[in-house]
Order: sequence, then C-alpha cells, then structure tokens
Amino acid sequence: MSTGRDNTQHQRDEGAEEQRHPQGDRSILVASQWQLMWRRLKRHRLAMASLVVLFFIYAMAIFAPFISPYDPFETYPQRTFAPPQIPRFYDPEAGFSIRPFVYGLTSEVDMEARRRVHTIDYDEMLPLHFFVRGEPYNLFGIMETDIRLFGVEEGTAFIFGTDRYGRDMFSRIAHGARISISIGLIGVFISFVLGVSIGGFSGYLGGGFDNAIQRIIEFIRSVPTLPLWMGLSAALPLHWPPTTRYFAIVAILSIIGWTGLARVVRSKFLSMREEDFVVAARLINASERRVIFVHMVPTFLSHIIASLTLSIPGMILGETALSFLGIGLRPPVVSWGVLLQQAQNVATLARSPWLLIPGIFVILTVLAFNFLGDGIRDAADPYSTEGV
Amino acid sequence: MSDNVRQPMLELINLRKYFPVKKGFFRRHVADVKAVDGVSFSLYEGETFGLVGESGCGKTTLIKNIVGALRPTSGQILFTDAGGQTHDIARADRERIEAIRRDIQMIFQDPFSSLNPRMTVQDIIGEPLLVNEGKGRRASRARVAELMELVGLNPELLRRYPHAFSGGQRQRIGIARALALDPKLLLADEPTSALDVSVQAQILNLFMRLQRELNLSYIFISHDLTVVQHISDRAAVMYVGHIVETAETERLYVSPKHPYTEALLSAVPYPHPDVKKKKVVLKGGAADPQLLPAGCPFHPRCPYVEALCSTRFPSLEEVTESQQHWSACHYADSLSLRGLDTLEESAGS
Repeated sequence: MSTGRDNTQHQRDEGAEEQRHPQGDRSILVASQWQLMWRRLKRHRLAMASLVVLFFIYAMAIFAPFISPYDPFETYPQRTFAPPQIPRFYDPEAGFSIRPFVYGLTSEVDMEARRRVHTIDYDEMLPLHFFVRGEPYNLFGIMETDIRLFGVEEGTAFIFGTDRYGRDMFSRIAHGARISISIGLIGVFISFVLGVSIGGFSGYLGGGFDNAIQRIIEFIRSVPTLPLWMGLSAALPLHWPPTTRYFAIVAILSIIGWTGLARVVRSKFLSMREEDFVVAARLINASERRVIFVHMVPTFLSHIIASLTLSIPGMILGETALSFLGIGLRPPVVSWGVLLQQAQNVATLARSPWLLIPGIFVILTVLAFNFLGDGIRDAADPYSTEGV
Repeated sequence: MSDNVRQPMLELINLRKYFPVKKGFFRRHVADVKAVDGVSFSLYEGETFGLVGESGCGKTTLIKNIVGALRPTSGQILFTDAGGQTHDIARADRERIEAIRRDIQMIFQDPFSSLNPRMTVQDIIGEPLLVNEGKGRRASRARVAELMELVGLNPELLRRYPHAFSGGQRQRIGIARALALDPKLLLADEPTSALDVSVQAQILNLFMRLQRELNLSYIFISHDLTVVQHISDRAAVMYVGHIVETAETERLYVSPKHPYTEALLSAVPYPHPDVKKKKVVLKGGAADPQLLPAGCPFHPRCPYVEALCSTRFPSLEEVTESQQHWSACHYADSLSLRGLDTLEESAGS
C-alpha cells in the first residue's frame, strides 16, 4: 500500500525534475563532471579567447621552421636593424590587391653615424606568396623540405624587422617560442610531480611529517626568488652544452614552483578526508587506495589543473628574466628572453623599437595562461552559480 | 515493545569518546572534549531507537563509533550478528569491523555531500557490491535496479549523475547504497533535516516501509522531536555527551521525567495559529563539553535547580512510578513535568 504511494511520489519528484531543466536538454542529466566543466568553460569568453591564442602560439612553436620565412641564424649583412616590413593590401597607386605585399627597402650607409639606414621604397611592391620554396630545412627531424608558409620570390620580407646581424626577428621569435613555451610545460610538470607527491603525503599522513614539510615549504618560500635563481644559475658550469643548461634552468625554476602546488594538494587532502562521500566510501569497506584514487583525487584534479595552468606563466617569466639578465640561456640558443637581451641598450632600442616584439609575445602568453587558468578554476568550482 | 527476554542486537555499555585538545609546538595534551561521556543503551531487533538532542551534543560522534569510523576512548559496543555471535566493535580489528559493516550501515544528513558527484547512480549504489563482492557493473546491474526500485527510484535513471536529482531523490540513492549489502541495522544521522517538509514525510514513510519489508533496525538521530515521535519505538534525549532520559517514545513525550526533555518538548511548534504555548525558555547555551560544570551538567540552565544538583552527578536511573523509563535527574520522582499531550490539552481549552 505504501509502496504505491511511494511510487506516485517518485513520479511527482520526476515532474519537479523536468521543471528544473525546462529546455528539455536531457543530455545534462547524464553529463559527467568533466563534461559539465567543459560546458561552463565554453561560456567563459576570455578563457576561450585565451585558448585560441595559446593554440596559435603553440602551433607557431611546433611548426616554427615551416612558419618562419628564414633560417633564424641566417644573417643579411645588408639589412642590419631593418624596420618591420608590414604586410599590406592597399597601395595608393596600384589600388587594392587581394594578395598581400610588402614594400621593398633601400639601404645605404650613413658614413657620419657609421651605421646602415633603411628607407621604405614605396615603388617596389613585393607580393607575398604562400607555400613558397625557401631555404631547405628539416621538419621534426624526419621530413626534409624547403616549403615555407610564406615569403617573397625576390628581395626580402622581414615582417618584424631584423636584429643587429640582420637576422629575421619573426623567424627568431617563432623558434624562440619553442624554448620559452616548453620550459613552462616541463617546469610545471616537474613541479606537478614534486608538489602532488609531497603535498599528498603531507596531507594524507598529517602529524609530524606534515608539520616538517610545511615548515620546509615556508622556508623555501621565504627565500627571495630572484637572488636564489641568479645564484643557482650563476653556479652552472659554462662549458655545459645548451641542452643540459636548458634542463638545469628548468630544474632551478621548479625548485620554487612545487611549493605552491604542494600546499593546494595538501589542503585539498585535508578537507576531502572529512567529506561525507569519502567517509561513506570508507564505511562500505573501500580500501585506502580506492578512497584516494577513486574518490579524492578525481574530485580535486580540476583544481590542480587550474593551479598548474596558473603557474606556467611564472615559469615562462622566470626563464625570460634569467635569460634577459644573461645568466639563463645564452646565444646561440634562441628564446624570448635571449632575444630581449638585445633590447637592453636604450640607444639601440630608441632606433629599433621592434626589438621589443618578443616581449609582446611573452605578455600575450602569460596573460592567456592567466585568463585560461581563471576560467578553468571557475568552471571547476562545483558551487559556481552560473548555470550548469 | 521491547522484550526483556530477547537478547539485544546492539548494546552500548558506558561508552566514552574524548577528543584530546593539544596546544603549542610540542602538541601538549591540555584538555579533552568529552563528546560522548558514558552512554549506555540497548537496541532490539526490528526496533527503532530515536536519539534527540541539540546540535553538538554528541549524537553523530556516538553513531560514528558504532560503525567503527571512530575508536571509542572506553566502553563497549556489543553487536550480535545473525549467527548469534557477539562482537565488541570498540575492540574489533579492521577485518572484524569490515565484516560487521556489512550488517551496520549509515545514512548521512546531507544528501548533497554524501554522494560522489563524479560517479553515476549505478556506480554509487553498486560500489558496496564492487568493493565487498567484486561485482563489476554488469554483475551488479540487476541488484542495483532492484535497490532503486526498492527505495522508489526509477531504475532507468541509473546512468545519471547525482546533480540530476533533487534532495529527496539523492537521499533515496544514499539509502539504496546503504541497503546494498543487506544490513541488519541502519544508523540514520538526521536523514531528513536537510529536506523540505513535504519530502521529509516521504523519506520517513520510506524508512518505515523498508523496516517492515526488510526487518531492519534503526538508530534514528534527529533534533526534530516530531520526527522522532513519528518513527521511534523508544527514544533517548542527549545533553552534552550524556543520555539524560530514555523511555518508550509515547511515555517520554507524554510524561517526561527530566527538565531538559520538558524544555525541548515545550519548544515543539503546535500547528494552530490561535494556540499560544507556554514555553520553558532555558537560560544560556549548552554546556561546553570541554569544561562541564560540576554535578549535573544541566544544572546551570535548569529551572528546578536545587543545591544537590551542583555537587552530585545524577546517574541514569529507572523512575519508580513508570517502568522502563530512566532519567538522570535527582528529582525525577518528585517533579511534575509537562509533556506534549498536557500542553496540547491546556492549549485547546
């Protein structure tokens, strides 16, 4: 008798359920937390825009040889400190052209100032071609090719200008992205491994171990970052090959990076331990391993991803700062920080402001990671009120 | 209702749970929070035992001890299983506790935090079967559907996540999970207090139907006296870690023998707008379980306080005039306290 009543009751509950999702979008009812998170992230415009920006920057880094019209080490002695040749579609005489073009440059030596002066030659229109044959290069070490994304058939097209040896800044920025961006990812990966394991043990075991770890973290964080980095990287042997040096710099950046993550993981462990559904899992005899990896870790994984995303900019900035100061990576390695080293001289900078363009890429990347991280954090928060 | 000849299914003897308070760098032990301080009662098969008391009086700590989520400081928790074997949960090893947990399960107060938001209903209800019987999704599907049917959920919804359900439905999911291993005893920790009043009634009816169909026993915690009155055979009133009064529910509500019970009962709202009830308003707040007053823990707030109350601790003793009725008040026999019916009568006239 009461079974019957319960059943009508449950149908009434059902009715209420339909009202909660009046659009009739039933897919949401079987959507997992990750799917819900993605839905919320898609509504975050700034985060989505950042995702697109990061997609292009990473594509640029991965396909750097293809995208850059010149070899980053190729010098053009006639074209030192050449200004950017901006791609255009409109010329007052020739009118509108669908194919973009750049104006040519005429260079002469100013004997008084003892430097090269470049003037834009508005009569010389150099059409930009796509998929042109240029210098041969090796893509990913497997494909020998000479097809480049764009270029001119005669003359030169330095869309971001050139540096003091007449090297194409655009090609150098594209190649520098490989180092600058991968250092963020690898550094964050090392921080992730250290932070999650140390923070996890700290939060899970608690007691004296936790106490000791927390004091160590406080100590590391109290050491001023820049002097520590400088000291450590100044201690790197000069004769190390660039790759070794690269990994040493990543390791130095990660020494500080892991502490923040360890704290996040520890506090999550502490709060999750008392969560009702974690207690419920224990009460049905779930093993500790199951409780941790099935119930606890997936619940705060999204928060970890958010804080990882937010810690990548710190790594990129760290590398840039160290290389800018000349104690990080060194030429001939190309990174954004190394490129910015040339912009240290105010006189040079005043004449050739385009040397700061790598800085724009650093800012763009850092901002994009910050906005994306914010978006992920908001989307991961189960208590966010902005719709599901 | 309880039969003295029968052996109790669960018997608590002088159970204590103290939480140490540690201070300073060397974690010096400075005091104890006496969350549960000498509680004894017994529970018989098929019976519902209600436990009332204000927030923080140790109700939840008490049942967490019974399911083995917390270790008691002292005392015994004797559980007799279906085979007639008696185990002391307070001293059982992990293996034994895991076996006992198949018979004793708990239902949580908050239906939102007690279900893992990342698991489907099927995985939540099937988890006890997976963990204890190694049954995967396929093997447990029929049983999960049966359990959902049993608690009044549509079994077709088993692929949904908890966020797709209302509070009442989620509580049903929690009950289905607790029932998965065929327990004998359910410990319900305020299972209705997070729900709307209309849904509360449905969940209470579900509890009563399940008890009839599955021959379950309940320990039912609530701070809502009407809920306990509705569902319990016997009830106990707790005050800062002590049981101050216990009796059959009707007797406890009609003729309370402890001033604290009287005060609680006087606060029960009477559903009629013209009725003005005379409330016994207590002075101050509940005692701090870290610094209990000497003598009767209730004496600083008691309207009938006498000199004896501040010096001697009253133990729980059977009231002379009514059998199976225990009260921890020195003056239980002499005080005439007002229960629910008398209040309603006086209000009606």
